[in-house]
Amino acid sequence: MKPFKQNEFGKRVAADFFLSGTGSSMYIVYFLSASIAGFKLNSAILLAGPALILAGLVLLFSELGKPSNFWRSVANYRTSWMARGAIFNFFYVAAGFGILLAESLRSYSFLPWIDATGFVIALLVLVYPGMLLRAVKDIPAWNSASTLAVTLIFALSGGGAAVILASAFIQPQALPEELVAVMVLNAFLIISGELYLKALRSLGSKKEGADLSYKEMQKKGGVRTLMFLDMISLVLYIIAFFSAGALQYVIAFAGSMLTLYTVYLFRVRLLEAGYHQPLITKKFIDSLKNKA
Amino acid sequence: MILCLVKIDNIKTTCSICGHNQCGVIVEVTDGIVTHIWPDRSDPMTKGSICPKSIASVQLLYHPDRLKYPMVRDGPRGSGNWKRVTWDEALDMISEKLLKIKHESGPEAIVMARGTNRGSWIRLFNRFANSFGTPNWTESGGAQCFTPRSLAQQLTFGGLALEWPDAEFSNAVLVWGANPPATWPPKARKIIEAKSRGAKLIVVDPVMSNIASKADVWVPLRPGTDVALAMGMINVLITEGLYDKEYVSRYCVGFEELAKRVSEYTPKKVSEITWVPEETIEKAARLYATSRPSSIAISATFDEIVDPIQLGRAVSILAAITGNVDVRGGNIFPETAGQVSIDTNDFIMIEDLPEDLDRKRLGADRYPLLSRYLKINFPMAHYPTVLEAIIKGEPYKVRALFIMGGNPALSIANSERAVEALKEVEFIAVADLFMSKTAELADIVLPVASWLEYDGLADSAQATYGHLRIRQKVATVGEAKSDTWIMIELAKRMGLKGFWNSEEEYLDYILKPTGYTFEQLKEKGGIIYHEPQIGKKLELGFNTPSHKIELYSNRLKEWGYDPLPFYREPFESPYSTPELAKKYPFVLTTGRRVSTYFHTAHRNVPALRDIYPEPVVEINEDTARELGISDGDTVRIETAHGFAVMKAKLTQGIHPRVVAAQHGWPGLANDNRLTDNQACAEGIGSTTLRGLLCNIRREG
Amino acid sequence: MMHYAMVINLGKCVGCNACTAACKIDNATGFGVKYGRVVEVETGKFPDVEKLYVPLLCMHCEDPECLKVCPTKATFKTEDGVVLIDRDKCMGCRYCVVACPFMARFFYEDSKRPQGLPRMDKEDERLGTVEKCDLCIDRVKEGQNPVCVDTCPYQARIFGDADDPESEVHKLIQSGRAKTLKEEEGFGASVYYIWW
Repeated sequence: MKPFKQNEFGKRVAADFFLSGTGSSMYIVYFLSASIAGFKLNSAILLAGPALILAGLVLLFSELGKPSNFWRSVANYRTSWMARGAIFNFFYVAAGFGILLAESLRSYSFLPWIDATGFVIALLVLVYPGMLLRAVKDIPAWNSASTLAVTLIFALSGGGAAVILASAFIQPQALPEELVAVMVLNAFLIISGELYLKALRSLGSKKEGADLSYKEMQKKGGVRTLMFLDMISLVLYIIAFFSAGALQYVIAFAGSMLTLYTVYLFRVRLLEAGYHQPLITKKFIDSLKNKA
Repeated sequence: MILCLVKIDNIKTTCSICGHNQCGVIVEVTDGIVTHIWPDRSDPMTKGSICPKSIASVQLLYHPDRLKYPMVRDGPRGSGNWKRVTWDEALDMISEKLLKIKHESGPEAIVMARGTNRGSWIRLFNRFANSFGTPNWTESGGAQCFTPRSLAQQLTFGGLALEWPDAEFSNAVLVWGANPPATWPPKARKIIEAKSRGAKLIVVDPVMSNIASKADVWVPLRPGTDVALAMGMINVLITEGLYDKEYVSRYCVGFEELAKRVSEYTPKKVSEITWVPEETIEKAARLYATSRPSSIAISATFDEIVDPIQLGRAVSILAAITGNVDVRGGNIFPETAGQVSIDTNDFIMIEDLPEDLDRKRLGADRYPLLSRYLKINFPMAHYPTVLEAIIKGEPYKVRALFIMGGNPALSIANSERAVEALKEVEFIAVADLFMSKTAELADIVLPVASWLEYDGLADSAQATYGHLRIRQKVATVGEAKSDTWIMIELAKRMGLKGFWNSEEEYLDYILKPTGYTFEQLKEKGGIIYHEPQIGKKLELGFNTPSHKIELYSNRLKEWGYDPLPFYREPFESPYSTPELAKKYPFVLTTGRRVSTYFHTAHRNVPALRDIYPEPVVEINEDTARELGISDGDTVRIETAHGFAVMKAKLTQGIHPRVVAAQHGWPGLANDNRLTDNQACAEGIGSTTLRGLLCNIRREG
Repeated sequence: MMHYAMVINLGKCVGCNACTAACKIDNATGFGVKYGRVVEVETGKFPDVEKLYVPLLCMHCEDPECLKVCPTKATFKTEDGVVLIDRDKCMGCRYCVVACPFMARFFYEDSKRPQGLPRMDKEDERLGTVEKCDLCIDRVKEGQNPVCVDTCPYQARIFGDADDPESEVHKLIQSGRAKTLKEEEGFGASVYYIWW
């Protein structure tokens, strides 16, 4: 019997993961930029982050069969990454608005603490979709560490692109520095994408489900295409870096839209390629019939 | 606590969802609603066999589309506009119309057609037709189901031994052209029990079916070449001396002639014809012959090929020369439990029909084995001839069709021609459970009761073995009545001889020799059972002119047919029509069954539809890949007679050049869009449903 | 301690699907939802083909994946090993359907129903929540067998308490002839298969 694939998590769940990942990594970029580079991005990002998360939650809510039980979703945090994710998301939204409030009140004294807490929560939100997929033991492509890693990298890239998008409108003077950061992120993205496919392929030689996942992600419109689109987006970023004024905004905008699109699509492809291990194998049948 | 307030009844009855197996079941009724159907493991004959159709009858019973009252067409035929009428009105109308046509054009202008009875009215319908005076009763199955092989068995053994494998006691079972798990659960149960004991299984089927998957030897022959295979197997047994010499000399006639005929069917020649390796043919033959006792299970395939009489004869001969007839563990003869047997010339009142009408029966000139009274058969009209008589008016105009439990619009060969005839004929009355494709074209529609809705008996030849059970009414749906009631009421209005005043009277009449009335038998537990009387024919003689098993049939010779079996190529095949085969390179077999549907019925029953939701055609996996077809693709099957559209199922369990299409789906998926009804089997008129040529390609 | 288990004889199973029909009728499930069903497994190449029919149902695992991933704790396990869903808690996120290694969980979608096929009564009760085989827990508590076990015309299914040394299931499991699906993964299925 061939490996079977999951059919329940589709585009809406992919979109929720995408929004969640982008929203949280926007904050991570903001925080790292402030604490490491000493460069303060516009605090409108602090609004955008939680807003995206919220949008993701609304999407998730609409996907539920019985949304009236949504409030129960935090009950099984002990073992369920979906329950944990729900908790992290709620806290993030709360923290996001808390930080925004603090910023507007300009209470610098406790700001570092809140910022740091927000960073930790953002990290948890960033990580939870990958962990949720990883927890599915029987889908080898999701269960691997490399999948977790590559989803994180894609999310960060998406966050960077989202920051570019925001900045193109509200903080264009920050663009050149940001462009450097996202160029690095994108390059990293493309490399990790290739490495991921290689890792999946070798996993595929051991686990049949992963083999089908690999084939699915490899085919037309699959991960390779996304890598190609990311290369175009990298080129756009480079061009933007060397441009100025309105042209710079427009090209940077285009590049980041493309990146965001590939990040979303990657989530979709990953979910579509969720192949379980085959239910009934020749090995099972032979052992049952007591053949060697 | 709450359970005490809920009334649960467990009612023992017999299922008749397929009309053949009559499995003993227990119907669970909760507060007057039928909630579940269980197998009755205590039934001495069926011992707990059951199928999905029986179980899902709960949904059939309460189905929103059930016909609930008689209706008369209110607009052009097929428009879908109906007017409700009372039973009296409907039956009066039918009676008046049929009598009028009989008076004006003679009784032969009325054709009474049934599908498969679901209940014991199978022979009541013959009686009704003969009493009414029309020679033209027919069935969708008819020449393509049971009738040819029944005649072949009567000619050979004087009884229907091939219908009764005593498999529970067999050391080997040969299943030929049958898939008991899908269609004969009681037989399948016996076979599986035999296998648990270590018995061997040989299955002859072009496709690896449910039962073939259990076979020790699977013989995937080219569809339509069964006679060659049978003759080849007989050849092996005679050459290797593996037949039962004593049995042959004591109980059979015609062995020398048989041996001579069979000598040309060498394994090599047969292998070329059937596409089965020589070793497999030899292995199958040896295993069957040397495992005595061995039994044979057959089914409709025997009747759907180019030469059904020859196949029925050849396999009967196979059973006979191996000494497996009328012995424990072999093939045994059906018997009643002492009730009036409905499977007699007497019961069907055939001899009341004047000889000139017998000669006028549609098909009598070309297909006398089907359509003339031969004393050992129940003659019937040839359906394709009926269609032409309706449309062309030759040899005479058929003006009325009275159809009970039949759906010729989908179930017979060249179904599109059947639809033409249905649209053309002057008057149609249809009795059915649902508004079938045939009922849609009727003038009057009568709502019929399902097996849960009437009292009856499980007493048809294929259900009984010294075993008689009652059927109990457990529910009512609208004004639906049983087919038996309908015939009795019509007979009253028409003043027909030989009928009763009520259903109860009829049942009591059948039961009379047993000493019980229906109610008394019900009180007693609803069952009469005798142990099978095996060996009586060996002791007292077979019901043939020579009182022996006639390997060589003088009667066939007298009637102008070959007294011994011989193989002929299907009407269309890579060898008989090589030019046609260039355009249609695959060998097609249609009529494949699954356990959830019976012919054209039950696609509308939700639980059953969920098990096999789509019409399927099986293709060899490698062939499919060459044609660019993947599993689940929509494909178009084309023959010289039409095309059909189905879903492809790729399998290794079929020859690369064979294609197998499922039976009975509506619309473009109907397999009878692919079949022909003009080239019919010699003498018996069967249309070929297995062994045609086709092409196949991906659609869209 | 009771631990319910089932042993299914794949030699006897002919793939008739009487069990599938009985389960659907008893549970009044919607189209596409088959708590118990039978799959066909084929190996080999024509004419050396092997084919098996394998009845599938919820494996009532000892270490259920579904239970771990369920965010609302709707999925739980009784003392005698039966895995159940509390419909009142389920929010219909279907994470468990995704995680189940045995395709044993279902979420009804009306769009899958073929046109013209009616919905029968009682289908609405579980709308919006995940559903699956509950081992006919109501019957089992009364000392009866699950519906599929009592329906099988070939008596291919045996049911009982695996912890009871006298029971047939216990003996078959101990014999080593009985295997579970995906045994190496350690899910601990309570449904075993044997050959003849």
